[in-house]
Amino acid sequence: MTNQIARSFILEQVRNRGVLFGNLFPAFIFIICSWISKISLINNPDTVDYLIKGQFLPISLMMLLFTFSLSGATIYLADLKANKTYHWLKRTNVSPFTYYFGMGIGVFLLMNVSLVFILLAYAIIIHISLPSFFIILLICNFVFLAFYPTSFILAGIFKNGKIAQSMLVPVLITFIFSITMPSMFLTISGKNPQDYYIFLSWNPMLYLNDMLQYQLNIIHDMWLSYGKYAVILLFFSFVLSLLAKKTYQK
Amino acid sequence: MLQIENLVKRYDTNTVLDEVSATFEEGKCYLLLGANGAGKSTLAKCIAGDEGYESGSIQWHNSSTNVSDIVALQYQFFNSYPHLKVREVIQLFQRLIVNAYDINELYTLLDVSSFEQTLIKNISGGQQKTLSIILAFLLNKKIIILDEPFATLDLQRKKVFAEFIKNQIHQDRLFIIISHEIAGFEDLFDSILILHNGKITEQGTMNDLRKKYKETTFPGIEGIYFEVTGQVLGGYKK
Repeated sequence: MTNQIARSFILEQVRNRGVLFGNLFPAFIFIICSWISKISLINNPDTVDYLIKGQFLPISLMMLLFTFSLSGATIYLADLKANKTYHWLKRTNVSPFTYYFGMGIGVFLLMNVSLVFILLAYAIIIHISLPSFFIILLICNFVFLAFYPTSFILAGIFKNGKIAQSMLVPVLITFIFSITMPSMFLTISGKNPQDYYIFLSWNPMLYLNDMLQYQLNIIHDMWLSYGKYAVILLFFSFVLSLLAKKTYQK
Repeated sequence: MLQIENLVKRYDTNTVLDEVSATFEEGKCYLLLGANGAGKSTLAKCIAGDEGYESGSIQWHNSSTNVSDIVALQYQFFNSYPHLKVREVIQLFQRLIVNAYDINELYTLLDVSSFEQTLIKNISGGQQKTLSIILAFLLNKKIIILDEPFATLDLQRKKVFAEFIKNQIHQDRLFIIISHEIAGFEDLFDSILILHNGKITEQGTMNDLRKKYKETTFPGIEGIYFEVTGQVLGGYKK
C-alpha cells in the first residue's frame, strides 16, 4: 500500500514538468553560477572556493530542501484537499498516517536523488570528501524530517495549490535568507555569526547551514554538536507533526 | 434499512433540506428526483458523511454510528491526481481498498480501456464520471449513491449498465440514484422520491404512484413528477 502511494506521488511529481522544473531550477541555477564564478575568477581560487562553499552550495541545498520537502508537498496536499480527493480516500482502508507516510517516502526518494545529483555537480567544481558527502546527505534528511510536517500545517491554512504557491514565496525568503544574509553580513563586518544563532534557532535551515559550513571547512567549530542538532530537528519534527495533525485535519 | 428522520441542512440562512424523512431498504433501488438546487446532491452528501447537518438523524438499522462507512458516493466529477493515468488511479485505489470489488465486468461495460492510458487532466467530463462510477463500485459498499450515472452514456451502454445495477440490487445492495434520464429505465427503480424546495413532496413505489396519478400530462415518471412539482425534469413550469 505504502509503495503504491509513494509510486503515485513520484509519478505525479515527475510528470508535472512545471513543478519538476520549478523544484530543480532554483537549486541548479547556483551550480551554473558556481561554474561561471570558477571560470571568471580563475586567478582567485580561494575566493571562488569560499564563495561556492559559503553561499552557492548552501543556497542550492536549502532551495532543494525547501522546494521538495516544503513547497512541493504543501502544494500537493493543498490540491488533494481542494479537489476533494479525501472524500474518496476516507472511504478506502488507508489510514491518514499510512497515506502521508507513503507520500513522505516519495518526497524522500525524489529529494535524495536530486540531492545526490546536486552534490555530485558541486563535487566537480569544489572538493567534497566522501565522508562529507554522506554526512551532508544525512543532515539534509534530518532537516527534511523537520520540514515535512510543516507542509501539512501550511496546506491546512491555504485553500488550494495556487494560493499555496503564491504564499510560499515569502515563506521561502524568510526561511532561506534569514540564515544566509545575517551569516554573510556578520562575517563581512568581522563578527562571529554563531553569536547570533540563538535568535535564528527557530529555523531548521540554520542547523543545515552550520553543519554544512563545518563539513566544507568554512568554519572550524559548529555552534552545537551533531547530536544536539539531531535532537533539536527531531523535536521540531515531533512538535510540528502534532500541530500538523490538528491543523490539516481541521 | 437506512432511515433518515427530520434532516435539516442549511447553508447560512438558506435551508436546503427541510425536515427530510425517508426510509431506504436493502436490495432495492431508489430514484431521487428534483430540480436543480432541490437538495438532491446535498442529501446524498449528508448520507455519505461529506456534509454535516443541523438536526435530524441518519441511521442504519437503528444505529447512527459510522453510516458513512458503508456508503459509496459517485461524484459528478473526478479531478484528483491530474498527472496519473486512469489505469494508475484505479490501481492505486485497488491497493487502498482491502476488499475491493471486482470491476472487470464494469470495466468492459463502460469501455474504460479506451481511455485508461490517458492522464486524468486530459479526460473529458464524461470519462471523469465513468471513472467515478468505477471507483464507487470498487469501494464495495452496502449503499451506493449514483449521481446522474446515465447522463454521458450512449443508449446501448445505458441499458447494459441498468442491467448491471439490477444484478447488484439482487446482491442485497441499496442503490439511491439521482437522475433526470429515466425514460426507458422505469423498471429499474423500486421506489421514487421527489424532492422539491428541500422537502420530500412525494414518495412511493412506481405502482402506488401510478395509481395515485392516473391522469398525467406526460407518460411514466416524468408525468408523475410534473403532477407533483408543476415542473418537467429540466425546469419548465406548469
